[in-house]
Amino acid sequence: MFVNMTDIDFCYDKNNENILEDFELNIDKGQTLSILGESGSGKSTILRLLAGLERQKKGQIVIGNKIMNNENTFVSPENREVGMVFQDYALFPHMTVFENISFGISNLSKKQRKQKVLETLTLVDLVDHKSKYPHQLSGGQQQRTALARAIVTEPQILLLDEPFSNLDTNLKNNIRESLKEIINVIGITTIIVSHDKLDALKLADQLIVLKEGKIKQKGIPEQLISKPNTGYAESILA
Amino acid sequence: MFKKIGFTNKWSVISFFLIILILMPSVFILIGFFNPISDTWLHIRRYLLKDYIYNSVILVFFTGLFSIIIGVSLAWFVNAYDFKYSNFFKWGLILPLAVPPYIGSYTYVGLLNYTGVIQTFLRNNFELVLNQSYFNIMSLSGAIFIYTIFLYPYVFLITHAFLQKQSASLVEVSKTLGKSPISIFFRIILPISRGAYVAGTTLVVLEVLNDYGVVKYFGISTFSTSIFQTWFSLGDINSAIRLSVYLMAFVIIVLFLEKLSRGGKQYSYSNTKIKPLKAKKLTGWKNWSMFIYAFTVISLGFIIPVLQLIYWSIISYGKILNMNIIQTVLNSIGVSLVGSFIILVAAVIIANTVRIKKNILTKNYARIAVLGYSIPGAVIAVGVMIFFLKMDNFIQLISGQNNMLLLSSSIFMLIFAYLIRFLAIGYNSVESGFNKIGTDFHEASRTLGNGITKTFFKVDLPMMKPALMSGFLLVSIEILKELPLTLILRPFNFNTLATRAFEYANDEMIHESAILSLILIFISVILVYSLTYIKKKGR
Repeated sequence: MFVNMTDIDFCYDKNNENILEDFELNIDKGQTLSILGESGSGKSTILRLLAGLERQKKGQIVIGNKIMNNENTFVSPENREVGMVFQDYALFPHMTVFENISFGISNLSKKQRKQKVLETLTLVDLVDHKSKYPHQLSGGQQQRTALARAIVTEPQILLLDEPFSNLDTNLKNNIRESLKEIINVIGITTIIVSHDKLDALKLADQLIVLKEGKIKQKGIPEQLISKPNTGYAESILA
Repeated sequence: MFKKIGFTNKWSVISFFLIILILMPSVFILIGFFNPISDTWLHIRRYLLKDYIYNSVILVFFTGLFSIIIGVSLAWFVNAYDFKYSNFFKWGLILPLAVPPYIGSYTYVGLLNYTGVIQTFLRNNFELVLNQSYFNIMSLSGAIFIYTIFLYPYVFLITHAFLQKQSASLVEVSKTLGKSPISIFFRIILPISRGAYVAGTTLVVLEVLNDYGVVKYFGISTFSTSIFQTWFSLGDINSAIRLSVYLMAFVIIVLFLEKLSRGGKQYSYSNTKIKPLKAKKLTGWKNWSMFIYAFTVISLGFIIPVLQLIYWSIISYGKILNMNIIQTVLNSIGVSLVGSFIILVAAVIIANTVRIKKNILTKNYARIAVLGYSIPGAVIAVGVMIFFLKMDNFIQLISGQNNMLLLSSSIFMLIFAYLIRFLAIGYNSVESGFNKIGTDFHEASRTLGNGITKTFFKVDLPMMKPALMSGFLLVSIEILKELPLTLILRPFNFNTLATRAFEYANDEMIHESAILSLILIFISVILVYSLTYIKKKGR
């Protein structure tokens, strides 16, 4: 397994109930997994734990054979090689598209950096917008900039937190297509958190339905959608 | 072990040591409380303590009450009504904050005494010689007037900011339900803005308890003046410590009452669509009465004292304008720039740690960082002095030089005291800046391979420049005006505009203190104006 979460317990506040309890997750290399669930089901928490933005109370997280977090080890977010696209994109407002994308590869030489950013800009079809600031971009362009910024560092896994929630329906369909293409081209292991079954259907190889921190159903998206095993799964996949 | 207490990066390590340093003076005061009781203390407790408590309670209660009446009513008027120059009053009514109350106090004494402008005018034009007691402002009620007219802007500012954001629909729905403007004010506006004006009044009360200049000049015994007197005139540091603890108990009661009066009364809107209130255009007598009310307040709190100071400056500038004054101005600006910078750096380090590492320890960092603003200057001065003397003793022990007072005679001691007293102001600004930008940008940068420090300089810092500038300006204003700490802890022969103006006035050289006071007010007005400009631009 390329990504492995074992026996995870997590809560945001020590006095509160666990968001995740004895949670297990396994993903193969190159696979795209979609996590569906209603608000508060713990789906974004899974991404934050994988990115190292939160620390679990119990359990172990392994990415690419390297232990990222257990009782004795904690690899900080900057050393995890994880790319993440945030729900509201979190594009740095004081930087241009080019600067935003090159931000994560400042260790490279100027020439290498420029080349890499241009390659990524071409991939996401944003070359003409490289000098613009985030507020000058449309929703779809902002989303692609965030994606480019996340993948330019060549991370081991890509995490997408509700990537389409800020887009209107027409735009969503187009962006889904191009996102699928990009993921296929770079062949990266991807986890998408969403509450829209169409995201899973169009993008994912595997789908899990989450409720109160527990996996209610797991499988291939088309199969799950045609045969939900609980009322909850049915309501989520309807 | 270190990881268990949160030492996982440089930020948390530095924060931990900063917090320990900030707590040290308070710890020494608490330890000092258990020293043996002296005869002086027995005398104070038997004959004087009652007066200190009585005077402090009267000053705090009535200043608080009148500040609420003026601050809330003006905040509501400038928000709800469009009257003559109401746009100017929105920021003009903050101007009295630029006049430190001790400067206001001796200006009013000069204005009202036998040779002052008012009595001279009445004598020369109407041959009126009135009973002098009518003009005696050097009393408890005079002090209440001075504090109210120069400190009400705290209530005005916070309530005004709150009402600006309030949902217009609340007022509009009340109107459709047939309520009159007066009924809306008392039944809607007062209850919903309670949290805001209680917070503003608490600031006023804390300023009153902190003040030394006004009560010393008026000869009113309060905790502040008695701490000075016990320490410097009677040379009894242990009794000064005891008085400090009593004063702190007084402050704790005030903060408790604040919490009590705010508890359960925090209203929030049930929807997020908050639109500002559309001001109603006033005409006729209503228009004029609002204008006269606001203009009277701003005249008493700013225009009249400043005009008086200008007049005194004109007749005395030949005596005072020399190289010393330039040195005093440079000292004031220098100490407030350096102090503000250090405070902002400390605030950023602690606030960033609190933001990134959320645990019980860092939750308490936030509480300790804002604690100092509620500790009166005289108490901080006692604590800091003891702490620095102990450190000097330690240095003497190590170096073997018995007469060396390296730290307790240096400017560091004063700057350190400013850090404790004003860290809350810097911290609140930085914290609101961090809250505004949220954590997504920080987290995005971290997942892109940057550590906390690099993320701070590349992402957080550029985005929170306005908040940092506001914090810097706010702290600068406070340091510039600060009196009790500076009077006690400044190095020998080191004068600021505040200490020099106060000393002149205290030596009955009111005219001589005018230029210094004017320069101080002028710099403060520029800073206040810059602050409102930054806030306006930020919006």
